[in-house]
Amino acid sequence: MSVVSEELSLKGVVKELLSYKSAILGLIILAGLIVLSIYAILFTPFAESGALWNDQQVWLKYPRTAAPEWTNIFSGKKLPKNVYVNMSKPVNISKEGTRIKRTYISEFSFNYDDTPSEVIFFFNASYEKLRPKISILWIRPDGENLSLGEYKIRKGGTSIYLSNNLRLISDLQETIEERLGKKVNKSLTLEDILFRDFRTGDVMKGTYTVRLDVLVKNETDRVEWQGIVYGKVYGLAGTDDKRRPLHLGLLWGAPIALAFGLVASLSITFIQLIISAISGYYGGKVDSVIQRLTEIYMILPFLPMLVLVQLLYGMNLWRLLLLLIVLSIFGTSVKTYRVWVMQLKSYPYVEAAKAYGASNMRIIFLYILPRLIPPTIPSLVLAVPGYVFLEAALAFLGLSDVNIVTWGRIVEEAFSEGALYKGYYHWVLMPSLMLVITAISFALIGIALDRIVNPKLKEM
Amino acid sequence: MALLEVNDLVMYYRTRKGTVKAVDHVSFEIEKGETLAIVGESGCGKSSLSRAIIRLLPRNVEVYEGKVFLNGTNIMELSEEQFRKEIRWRKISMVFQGALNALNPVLKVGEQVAEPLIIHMGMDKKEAIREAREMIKQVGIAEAFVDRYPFELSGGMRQRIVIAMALITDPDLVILDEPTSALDVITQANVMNLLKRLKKERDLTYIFITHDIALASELADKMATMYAGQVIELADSESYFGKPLHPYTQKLLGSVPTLREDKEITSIPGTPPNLLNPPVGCRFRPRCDQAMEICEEEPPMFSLDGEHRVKCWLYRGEE
Repeated sequence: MSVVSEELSLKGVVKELLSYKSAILGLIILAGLIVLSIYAILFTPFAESGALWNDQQVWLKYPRTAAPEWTNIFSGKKLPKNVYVNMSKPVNISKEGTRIKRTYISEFSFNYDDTPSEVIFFFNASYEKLRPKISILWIRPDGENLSLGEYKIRKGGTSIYLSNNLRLISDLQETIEERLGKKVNKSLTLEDILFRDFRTGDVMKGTYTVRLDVLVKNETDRVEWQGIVYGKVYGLAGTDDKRRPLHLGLLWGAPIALAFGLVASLSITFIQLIISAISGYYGGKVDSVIQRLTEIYMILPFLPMLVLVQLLYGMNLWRLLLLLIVLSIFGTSVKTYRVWVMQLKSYPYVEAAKAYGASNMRIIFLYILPRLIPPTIPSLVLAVPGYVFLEAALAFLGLSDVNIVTWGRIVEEAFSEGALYKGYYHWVLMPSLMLVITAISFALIGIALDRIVNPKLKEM
Repeated sequence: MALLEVNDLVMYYRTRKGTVKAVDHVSFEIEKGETLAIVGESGCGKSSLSRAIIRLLPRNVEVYEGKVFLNGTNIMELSEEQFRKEIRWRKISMVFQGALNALNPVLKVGEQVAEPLIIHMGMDKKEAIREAREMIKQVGIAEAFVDRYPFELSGGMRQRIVIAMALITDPDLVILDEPTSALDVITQANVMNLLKRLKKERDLTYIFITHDIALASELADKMATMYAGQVIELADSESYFGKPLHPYTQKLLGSVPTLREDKEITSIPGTPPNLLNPPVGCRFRPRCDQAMEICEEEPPMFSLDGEHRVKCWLYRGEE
């Protein structure tokens, strides 16, 4: 690459860039990522994203390890989404001994090809003396009534996880076996019992009814409730094993990935340019020192050093970025840029500038660096995904910032939970897809820019 | 007192093959408002002389000494930083050979012309560009070009911009280093007319370095011939062109066709000497048809008829 006689204006470059279809595609993807980032920052609680992500209570109402909704198109089966069984006005209020009994009846329709993943009832109670008592009755479309037990609830929030209540499940299985008059050979799950036809084993579609009786002591005692029949698909990107919706993670990861990649690439390139300009322009001892330093840096193993420092100090993402910059400023590019500077400094206009008394700094920053920038832009753009991947790689090694959601971290969590082994492909694929799309976008733009700025490639 | 007095200026380069004596004990002086034209073949040290005066030294300089008085002060004694701040462009400016490359391709010409003002006068950018606009108008370029980049201008326009840049700080002395050598004849004439007009209007002092004797005669009040790093003849234009004394000057003038008289064009035999090891004694001796035995010794500068100086043994005893 040479720096000779490139009279490129920004407008000209943009115009020429738009004549490459690949570059347009790259720009569209990049624009999409930027829009996502802006959306994430402005319209989601981005500032608290790390804390939210680490807080398990926030995500209770999302299904666990649900696939993205659009997977239904490929599987041909209509997998269930979340169905909410909401409290309505009590249909009946009666006295039962000294207690007041409120009866609620809620209906929901279930028209999916598979059983849901979980059933949980949430309660929120406020009372004076005695704990309210509730009992749940499940009425299926085929008329079967199943009692889901009686529970006493505490003040504040109570969640009743029906799906892992083993005693309830075995009781229900016994009930079914009694009604069928024969043994069921395998052990059923709660979802099988609640949603499958006992004889055929098919998932029953239709209207389900939940009857909930609440016994309270006083008129003023309040019990609010909601039942959730958890689905097996959720949103655009599914959820992970801690019920966190991945689309939020991907959304929050976008601005961080872009910022990390761009800041790393920009600052490293510009610092390298300045260092090589000083090295090439002043020559002599300054040059020797900078070049020897560069050679030492070239030998130092970059990733192991980064890993080591991160392992010892466990820095946050932006300190990590700083460390990355410090470890990269004497990179191999310093050698390339220095040669360009040496070529440029012998130009007559630089000599003329010296003659009319321009200071060395002025010559470096106003006469030499502006001419180096155009040829470095393509490599700058091409380097961005490299740094995004580097962050992902560190996250994958468990070395990234635990207080920030990044794509790499999502992949790492998926991997450590054995997502691929358990078949939760979306959990690994969605963040990987984002990483790959980002890389493709920058690569398409960078390659087109390289062709424009370095026209030799065009002839090949 | 002369505006500029150069005394025994020496500049040698160090190369792998040896020392190049590019400027070898050169002395001359210029009065205010005068134009001194220095002529000579390629490689005789003309450009090195101009660079030595403005102290634009190449990295491999070996010897750089002598005295250069500007308005009576010896500017050779100034430190590099003082020289940069006080002399370059404030007192002495320069128009470079090949203006095509002397402009920063990433600066607009207005900014380019304003650069010396920003650097030396501490002006802010806006004010400097306003001044530059005036100057650009004075060198005959439409104001619309102020916001153009150098590559959008023709060669003649670029040369005018370089001249504007040399004059913007109102220096005492302007060194013109082959200002027209890369231009076609018409543009050359235009630039020469511009230089003449500016000289008259602003009472400028020029050192005009060229290999084109005809061009030099248009502008010069004083002429100097340089040969192998030395000034060998120095006289006012009238006696220089009317009665050249040094055999080399005679032959040089003889090689230029003139309109007024019908004369045989002659050529100079041989090639210019190698500055790595120039001939002992008179450096023109190997090519001179009037060479004598004494020429093997270095001739001193003889002064004839008052101000006509020549470095040739032929004029021994005629002082």
